[in-house]
Amino acid sequence: MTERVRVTETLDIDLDAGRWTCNRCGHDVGDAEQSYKEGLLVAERDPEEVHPRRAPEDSAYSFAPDPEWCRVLEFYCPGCAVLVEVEYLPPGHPITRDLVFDLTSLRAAAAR
Amino acid sequence: MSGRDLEVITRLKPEAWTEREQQAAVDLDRLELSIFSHKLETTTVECQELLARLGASTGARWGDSGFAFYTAQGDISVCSTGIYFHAFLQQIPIKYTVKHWTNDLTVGVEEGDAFFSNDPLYGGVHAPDMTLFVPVFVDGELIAWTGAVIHTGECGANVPGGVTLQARSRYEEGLHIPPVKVASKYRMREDVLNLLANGVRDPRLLLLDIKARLAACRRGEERLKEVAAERGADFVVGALRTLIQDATDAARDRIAALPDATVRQVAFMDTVGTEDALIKLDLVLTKKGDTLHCDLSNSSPEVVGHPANSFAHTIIGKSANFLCSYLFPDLPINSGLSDVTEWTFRQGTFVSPSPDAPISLAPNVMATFNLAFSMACAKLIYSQIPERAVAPWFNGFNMPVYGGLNQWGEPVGDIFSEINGGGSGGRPTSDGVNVAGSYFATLSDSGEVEIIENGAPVLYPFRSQFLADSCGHGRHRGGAGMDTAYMVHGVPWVLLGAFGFGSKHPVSLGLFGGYASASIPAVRRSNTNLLELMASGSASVPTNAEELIRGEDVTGTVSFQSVSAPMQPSATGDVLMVATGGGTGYGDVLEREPASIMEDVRWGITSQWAARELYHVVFDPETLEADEAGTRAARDAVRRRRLERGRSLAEFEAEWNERRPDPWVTRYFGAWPNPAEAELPAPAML
Ligand SMILES: [Zn+2]
Repeated sequence: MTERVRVTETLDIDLDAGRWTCNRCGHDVGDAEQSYKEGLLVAERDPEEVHPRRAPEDSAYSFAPDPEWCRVLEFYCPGCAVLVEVEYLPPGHPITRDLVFDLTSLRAAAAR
Repeated sequence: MSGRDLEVITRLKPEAWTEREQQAAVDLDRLELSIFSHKLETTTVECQELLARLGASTGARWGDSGFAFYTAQGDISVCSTGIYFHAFLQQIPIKYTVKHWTNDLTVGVEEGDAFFSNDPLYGGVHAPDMTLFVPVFVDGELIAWTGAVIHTGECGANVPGGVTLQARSRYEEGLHIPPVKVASKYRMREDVLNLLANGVRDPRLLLLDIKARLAACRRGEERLKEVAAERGADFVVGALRTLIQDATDAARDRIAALPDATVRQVAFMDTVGTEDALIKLDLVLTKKGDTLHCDLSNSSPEVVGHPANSFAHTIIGKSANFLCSYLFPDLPINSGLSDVTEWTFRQGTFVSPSPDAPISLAPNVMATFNLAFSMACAKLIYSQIPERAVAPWFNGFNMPVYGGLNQWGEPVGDIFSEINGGGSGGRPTSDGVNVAGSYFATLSDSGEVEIIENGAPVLYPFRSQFLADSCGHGRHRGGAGMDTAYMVHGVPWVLLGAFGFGSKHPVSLGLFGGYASASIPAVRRSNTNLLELMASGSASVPTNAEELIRGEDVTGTVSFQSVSAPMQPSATGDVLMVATGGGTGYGDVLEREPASIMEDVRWGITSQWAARELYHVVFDPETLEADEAGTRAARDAVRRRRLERGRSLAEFEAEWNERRPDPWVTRYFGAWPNPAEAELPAPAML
């Protein structure tokens, strides 16, 4: 019986194996000492695919983010395609390694 | 001694116990302490109610205010749940007063005094945030302070209404009053009030709000003296300090129970006030043991010549927002909670600018920080307390500002209150709340239209409940925001503008796969015939933004602009539309129940476009009935497409990292993409 801790809506950490795991399908998402994003698939979307534009074509403001300023990056589980994370970034801005746990401490916290 | 003091502004954490406090706390009875704490909590609510009843400004009447009890050293001990950061920051002017005026022979601190301050350097967020505080004496000993803060619109800046987008330096942002005595021997100093009123366009607003604060402070003083009369001054001194220590101890325990982790979050501000520009806030949150360490050093440089900066202590004060709302909602709200945080700033950045920097748009900077901090904290705490890992509320302002002569010929200048009708964020088990309030002002109210129209030269064509797709979508969507328009009415013209950010780059981001809320612009439709349409009982009178923008029977030209919209003269019949944003989404849109989505479409919260293109529901556009099997098939196809287009991180980054925005977009950004990698320009005084 391996010990798994749910650490986000869709990701667990398997403490014995030290691996990120998708809690929807059980897919192995990589080394828990690294970013979970290393083990996911990533795709870029135009913000206007996600946020409806509500202004004329020539308007610089539209209720949607400006595609020149902002891109939507989606991270999917390679097993079940669940959307694990969305990051809104200016084009080319480094992707954030947002979450790294100290596994010893996570194990102790889980035991409490 | 007088003069600028950059030491006192670093003292947001509790002061060390004095000998007096230690002795007073020795025999403290815990049961008595609990009764005391409850009495003071209810008194702070009573005093905040006084601010609402007696104050004149939008902030006073609709809850952009705070009230608190402080120790004799100026540490906050018990506060109303109005605006957490105001309560925390108001320690600074009190500590300044204790340090500078107590032993000054020409000023002194005596029973019956009251002090006023609005200098953001000493704890206001920006100049409209004005505070008043009074010492509480028992048998000649200073045992405590009471203090009240209100955002009082007009403050004498280079444009009316208090929030200037155009300030180039601190010296164009209006009054900057360091702590000054405005009352002694229980009488107000008429000459000092006259001095203050002389510096603003709306003296009535300023004076009524000052008197409301004084009334609230006196009520608090009276209540505290009742306790001292009954239990003795020792009890009050010991109890006020012990409540702070209790909060520190409990907060440390709670932090210690969380796993150690490093959480990173970037957030972007997309305006410097009068110009669109991309500014970066980079947060590295390190939780170790019983401490949360925030490192903001890789953030953009100070914005020179524009008011898009915030002092470091103001940012620290802002952390109270998430801490009090979600991490410690059951703990006493006082400075003890700030004991668990440690901070690293880089001097010369827009989150730690020079003391002469213009900062009137500090609320935008604070909100940018709040976005990063609340996202990082949600990710940190999910494994332990998932129910508190909430997607961000509407995190911006979208706050219209007006100034000029009203329909009674009086000078007026203030903000509107619809900011207090934002949506809350999606939650792990449920949607956000529609038109929930303001994420930073928990006791606020979005205001009564008729009362507002009575004093401001506008008519509301509509203030409908929901702006469609204002929320971020997700498995649990954010709460919807509010759809509002303001038409100039009863005067030939008035100045009308708005402040906020996020019209280019989102101001409120989703959590765990949820989407951001809408990037709302300000929309103006000038020279309309709305009044004639209303008078004729026409069916074409618009009832929401969509109808007002597209309405064919409505005359006048439509223009979209940034929600950071400098004030401009607007004539009778001109309309400004500024919707309040929705909360953000939580989780994958494809996991949302089709029936819930159709219900949202019926309510006008979600558009048919979003139901079809984003949630991939197959439905009948007439009956709005979802086809369950069709939806399952459509969503399976979307999942296949995700797997087809998704690439490994390494492969993706090889191309992605070669791109960058147009250099014009990043002209205030600092070194791309890491501002920490370059020297900062020397501070300028304009
Ligand atoms: Zn999966």
